[in-house]
Amino acid sequence: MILFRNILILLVLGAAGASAAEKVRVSSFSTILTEIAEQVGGDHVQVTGHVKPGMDPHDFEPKPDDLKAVAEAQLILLSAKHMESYVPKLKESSGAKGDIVQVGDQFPSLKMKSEEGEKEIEDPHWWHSIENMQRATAIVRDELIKVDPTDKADVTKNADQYLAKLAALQKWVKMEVASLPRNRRKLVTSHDAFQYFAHDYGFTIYPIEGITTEDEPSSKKVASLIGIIKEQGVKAIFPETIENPKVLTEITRETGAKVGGELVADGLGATPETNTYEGMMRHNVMAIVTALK
Amino acid sequence: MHGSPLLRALAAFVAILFLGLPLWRLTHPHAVAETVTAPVGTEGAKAIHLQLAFTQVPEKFRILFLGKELWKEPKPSAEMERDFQVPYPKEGIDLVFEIEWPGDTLSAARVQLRTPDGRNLDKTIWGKGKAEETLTFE
Repeated sequence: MILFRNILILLVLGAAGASAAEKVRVSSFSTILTEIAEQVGGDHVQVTGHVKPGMDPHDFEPKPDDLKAVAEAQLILLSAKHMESYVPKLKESSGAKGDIVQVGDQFPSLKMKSEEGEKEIEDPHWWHSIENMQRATAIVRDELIKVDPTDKADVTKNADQYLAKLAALQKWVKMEVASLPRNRRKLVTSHDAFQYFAHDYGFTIYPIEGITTEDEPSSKKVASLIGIIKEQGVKAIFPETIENPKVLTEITRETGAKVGGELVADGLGATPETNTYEGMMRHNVMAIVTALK
Repeated sequence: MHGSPLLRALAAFVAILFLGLPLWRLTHPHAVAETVTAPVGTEGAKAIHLQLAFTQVPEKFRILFLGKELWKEPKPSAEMERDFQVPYPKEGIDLVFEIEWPGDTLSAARVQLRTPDGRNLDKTIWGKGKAEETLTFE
């Protein structure tokens, strides 16, 4: 009888130990959410980041390996706000049983023009607002606790530490941006990704259209942009790519504006300097503030 | 000393008044409202008035404007006010506040700014021990 009892105790303890060691499997389709899940989950999670730093999430399409990981995941994190157009396909073809969390859909959106320019859609680049990052961290924390409540203490502690880092980063960004007069906070850019950033730190965005494509823009369009840059006293412009250097040269010559540093727009960058959220934000803020001063 | 006691009393009163005024000014810096030129480019500078009130007198306090020191008070008092000349575009200005209070209790600073066009803007900074905050006045 005693022997039976001891065996039973050993079995129960063994099962508990195995369960404690088992990590929550997370599939993330955003480099930003991958970082949050890793930071908040710590040793309790095994995160598969499908979109890697430096990749354009707009162009990402899941492959068979991605579907396999999704099928086995207990938690699937999506950036949302229409970023992952493949979601219905992902659900159907992977047979995902884990909780699919559309993180970005759980906080307010700014609007942007669709690629066709016909209608207004939700701007998916919510992570350029640190406040949104704080919201996303709380969402990921709560979802991880829901999947495995036994990790609650550690996950909460990790989330608090990450939130404190974000608060310190917010303070730094505000102080850096404060060194730039508010009437110089004009962001002339070809990329629509910085609306949330502009909203939080008092910038106005003037879109560059037609100078970063191979097509020759009309002289009227170039003249209009030159007029805006001169009128607004803009010191630098931030084209995403420079596929039309002739036009860009004309604009910088006519206006005296310089070409600002490259901004990391669609998630974490590929370089060691920009492959963390803090690194990416610091890089973008320094590039913008330095160029516009 | 000769002369009428009345004259002597009057002379003593004038002397006390004469010495007392600078002493009172020195011990009540909050009541001094003087124009201070901002240590930044004053092109298009306009007058603003800043008034501060602390729940607890801070040990250290300074305000930065466009990355440069605008106002530093080595011995702050519970209430202070000053006039400044700063560039004030229609988009407004950002002021960075650095405050250090003694101890770790929750303290607050009320910041009132009168804009060049006469509007009164009111904000509060909270902190335990210290606060570093950027306030926007539009």
